[in-house]
Amino acid sequence: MTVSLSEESEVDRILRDLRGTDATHGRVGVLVEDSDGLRLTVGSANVFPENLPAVLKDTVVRLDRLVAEALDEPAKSRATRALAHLYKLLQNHDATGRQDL
Amino acid sequence: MRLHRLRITSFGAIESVDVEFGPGLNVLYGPNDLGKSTVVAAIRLGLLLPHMSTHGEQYVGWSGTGDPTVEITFESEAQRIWRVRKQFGRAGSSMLYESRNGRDFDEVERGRKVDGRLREILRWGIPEPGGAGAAKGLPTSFLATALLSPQDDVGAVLKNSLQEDSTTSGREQIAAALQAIAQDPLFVDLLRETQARRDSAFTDKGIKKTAKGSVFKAAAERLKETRDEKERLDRIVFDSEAAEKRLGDLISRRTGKLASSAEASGHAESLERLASQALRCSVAEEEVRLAKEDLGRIQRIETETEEAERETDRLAKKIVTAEQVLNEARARQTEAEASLKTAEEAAHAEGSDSGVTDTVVRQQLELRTAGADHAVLEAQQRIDAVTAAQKLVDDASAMESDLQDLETTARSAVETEARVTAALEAAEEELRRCDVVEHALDIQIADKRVAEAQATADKQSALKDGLENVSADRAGLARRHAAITVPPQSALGRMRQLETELATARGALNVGLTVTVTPKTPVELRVRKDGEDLEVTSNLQPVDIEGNAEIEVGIGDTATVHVRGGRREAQDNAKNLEDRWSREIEPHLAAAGVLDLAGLNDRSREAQELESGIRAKDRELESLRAQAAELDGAAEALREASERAAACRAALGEIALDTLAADLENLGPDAVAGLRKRRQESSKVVDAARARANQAANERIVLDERRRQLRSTLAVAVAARDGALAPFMGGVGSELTAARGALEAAVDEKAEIARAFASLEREIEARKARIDAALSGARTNVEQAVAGVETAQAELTEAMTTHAATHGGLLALRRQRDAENIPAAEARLRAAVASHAALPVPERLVSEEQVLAAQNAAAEIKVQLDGIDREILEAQGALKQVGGSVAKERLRDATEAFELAARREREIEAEYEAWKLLLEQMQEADAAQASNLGQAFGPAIAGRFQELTRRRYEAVQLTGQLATEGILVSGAVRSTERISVGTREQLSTLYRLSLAEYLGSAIVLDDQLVQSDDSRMEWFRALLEEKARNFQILVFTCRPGDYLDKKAMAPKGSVVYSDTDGGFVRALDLSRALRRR
Repeated sequence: MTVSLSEESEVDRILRDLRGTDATHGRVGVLVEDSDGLRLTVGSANVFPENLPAVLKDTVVRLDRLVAEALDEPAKSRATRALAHLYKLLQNHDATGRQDL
Repeated sequence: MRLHRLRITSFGAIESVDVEFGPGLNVLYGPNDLGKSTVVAAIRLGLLLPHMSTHGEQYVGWSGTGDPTVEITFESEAQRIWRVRKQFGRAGSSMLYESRNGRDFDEVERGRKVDGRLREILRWGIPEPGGAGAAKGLPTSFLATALLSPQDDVGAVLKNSLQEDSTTSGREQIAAALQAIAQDPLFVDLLRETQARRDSAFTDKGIKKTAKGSVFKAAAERLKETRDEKERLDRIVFDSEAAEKRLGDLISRRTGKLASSAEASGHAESLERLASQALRCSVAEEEVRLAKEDLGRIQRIETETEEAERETDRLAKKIVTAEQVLNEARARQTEAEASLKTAEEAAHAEGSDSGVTDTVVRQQLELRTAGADHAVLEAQQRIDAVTAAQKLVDDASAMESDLQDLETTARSAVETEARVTAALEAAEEELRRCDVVEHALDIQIADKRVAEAQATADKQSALKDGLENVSADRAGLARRHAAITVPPQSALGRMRQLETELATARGALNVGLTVTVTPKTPVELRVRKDGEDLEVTSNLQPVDIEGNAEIEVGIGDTATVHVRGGRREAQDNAKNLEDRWSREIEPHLAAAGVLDLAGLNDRSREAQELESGIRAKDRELESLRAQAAELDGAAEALREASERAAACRAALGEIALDTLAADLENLGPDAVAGLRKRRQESSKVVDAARARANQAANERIVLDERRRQLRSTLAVAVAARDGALAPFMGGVGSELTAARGALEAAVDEKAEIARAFASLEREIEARKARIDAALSGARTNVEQAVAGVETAQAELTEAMTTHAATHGGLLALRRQRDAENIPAAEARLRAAVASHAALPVPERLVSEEQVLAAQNAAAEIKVQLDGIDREILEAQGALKQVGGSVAKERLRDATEAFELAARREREIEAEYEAWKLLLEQMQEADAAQASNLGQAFGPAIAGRFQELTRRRYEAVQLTGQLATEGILVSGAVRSTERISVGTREQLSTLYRLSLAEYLGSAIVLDDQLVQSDDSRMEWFRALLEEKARNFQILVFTCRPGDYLDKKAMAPKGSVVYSDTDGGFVRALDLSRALRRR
């Protein structure tokens, strides 16, 4: 399955609910995770908000450029994963109400 | 960067300087031509110039002794403190040390590498030294100019930019500093979080962290655990499969061995059967053989009996013949014995007549012989008597001669004894002289010891005097020390700290106050300012009262206004500290009788010096007492020495000591040894003389005795000689000649008689030979006859003996023959042959070894079969132990876990590689955003420049490389060359201060503001004091009043510096710290 950055974030959230945390019970008795088949949509795919600071916009552009210019799959995957990290950072930051994601 | 310490020696006009810098504003002041700019140049060279550069030659010490040396201690960041030491010149050197605490330094670089490392630490845009195209002389860069600008080019920073830098390190440092102040808060948060994620997995150099606690470590450990488990189960499954395979092999081997065992058993049984048949046949054959042998033996006995009977008959006949031969031999013997008797009778008859004649002749000859012997004897006796008499004469003569010699020897011995006795007396006299000299020497030694004992007694007396003097001095020092009351030295540090804190607290109150009193009606004003009473005024004019910290105004009887500087907290703090001062310090000051801590310190030092003096006196007293103790008993020694001297003089008696002076002098430097040697030599001489005297006396006595004995012997010899000569009246010689003639005649007569005897003997012998020949023939015949009888007798005896033996054997054979039964033996033989013929014949012959080998082979196969059975049981047990299919199932689980861990490790690696990439991209984006340094930096300078010039100028225009384009006035950009020199140096100073503030770096200002007026100078002073809390500023000036309050200056005396404003302002009097040539 191929998911976008936002969808992957949602997948993470669902899995976290199922798995449980230190503060919450898990929803299932046995959870077997196999994310081998889970793929990310390459690039940012315009999921980042428009009102980002310029320096962050520049960061996203640079990572998209790395994805586009990557010569091999690992390099492309690494840049896409970096975008995912940035997206989650912004999403977590949004939880404090400072960004609109 | 912050400078800690600077040490310079032999640098230009400076002989030496050693200063420690404070963390904030450091004002280093001194008169013109002191060497301030040389100190700045030393900092520049210490940080930038390689030691081997010829540029350093211009700073060779003016006196020409020693190479210029600069040592700078600085801190690049927290807990990274460096010390660079450079000695310029051909024999120069460079060393770089690093420390975490500022005390313990470790060497990190030396030689040419020092400058490369320094430039890496400073990051001022200066490349590593060396390489093609490297600039000669003192290297420079935009930041080096901005932070260490020389005095003669104050506006240099306005003319330079980053464009001219050889490396980008300066630009990168400035960009990083500017970014930190211009970043978006969201970006800063995300950057910090990304940095944290990245740092949790990678080192500063981008290498994976593998230490405990890192994400890679945990994943690697999990992977290792699962791998170990998988490998363990792999081994178990491998063992299980091996056990199964082994069990199958063993079962196959067992089946094969069973077949082999059956075949071997059958073969062994067949061989045993054949062997049994062969054994029975062999027994029957043996029985036949034994029967045949028994029959043969009986037949042989029969034959032997017949032969013995024939031999007995033959021997009987032989006995008869031997008896006849014996009889014949005996007859011949009788005949020979008769012939011998006849011959003997004839010989006897012939010998009896001749014997009588021979006897008569022999008696006559014997009579003649006796007469001749008597004549010889008489002649010989006469010769002996004459010879004896002659010998007595000779002996008497020899004795007389010996006696004369002995007399001569005796006289010589007497003379010798006299001489030796005289020598002995002389030697004994010399020995007595030695005794006298010894007494004199004892006196001399005793006198010397008396003198030494006297000197020791005098020294002991002097030591006692010295002991009393030192004790008195020590008591004086102790009284002075007891009069001083000071706290322990360790408490002084705390007091000084309190003094500093109090001064700081008071400084916080010293803010400056101005109170204006404008009376509406005439009133008496009593003003008290900073503790000082001022004049009392009474008019209607406004009164401006200006104070530092406290102003008190009494307004008639109406009111008293008390104004104090500083916040309430600062006042409370000052009050608390003053209370502490009163409580903790002032009692000590009062007790010590001083007004301040400096006085207390002097008193404390005085007390320490007194303590040192007391300790020194104690050591001196101890030493004197020890010396005096060593001299105890000196008086007793003197008395003993005096008594000894008197005793020695008494022993010498009446002999004057002066008469022995020559003897004493001849004893040499070591008189005792000399005397000992002289005495030993004298003793040897006495002993030798005494031995010689004894020997001479003995010799004389022996000679006397020998002389007496010889005289007696001589008298006896003379009497004997005279007695022996009496019979020879005619003389001894003639008597001797006559005796010898008679002797010769008697000898001739004896020879004639001997010849007659010989002739008679020859005749008797011839006759005897003839008779003996006749008797011998007869005796030979008798002997032959006797031999023939003996031979015949022997043959007869042998024949009779042989016959008896043969007859005995015949009787024994006849008894054996009678005892045997031939028919019975023949019957046994027939029965044995029949039994043998009845047995079966074996198919083939089998040996016992073959049967045994077949039995062993069968047994060995059986043993192997038992071993295989045991191995099968073991293999079954092992298979049960390792688990079999259960282990395989667990291996599958472990393999899945291992693959999962490996996948997880790859995911983690990808995750953190992505974090690392994200951080790099964010930093690059951030750097790109801040690439126009001029836009970021310009406003900071412009704001202060506007404030300084009261907004006369609007902005400062900087390029992206921080080059100064100009200043904006009324919308137009003007070159900085068009503004006044004073304003340009102020702009330059602002530019440099702003840059240093952003970088957090020390900055050196070498008389930068000489063209500024008082108001702008005052503004700069306030700015410098404010910024001194953020970074380090080093101001070199000949006008310290431009930068410091009078109170902040170093106090008079030898103190080099003083700190104010909580230690953020340090006034350094270079004229005290620096020594010129």
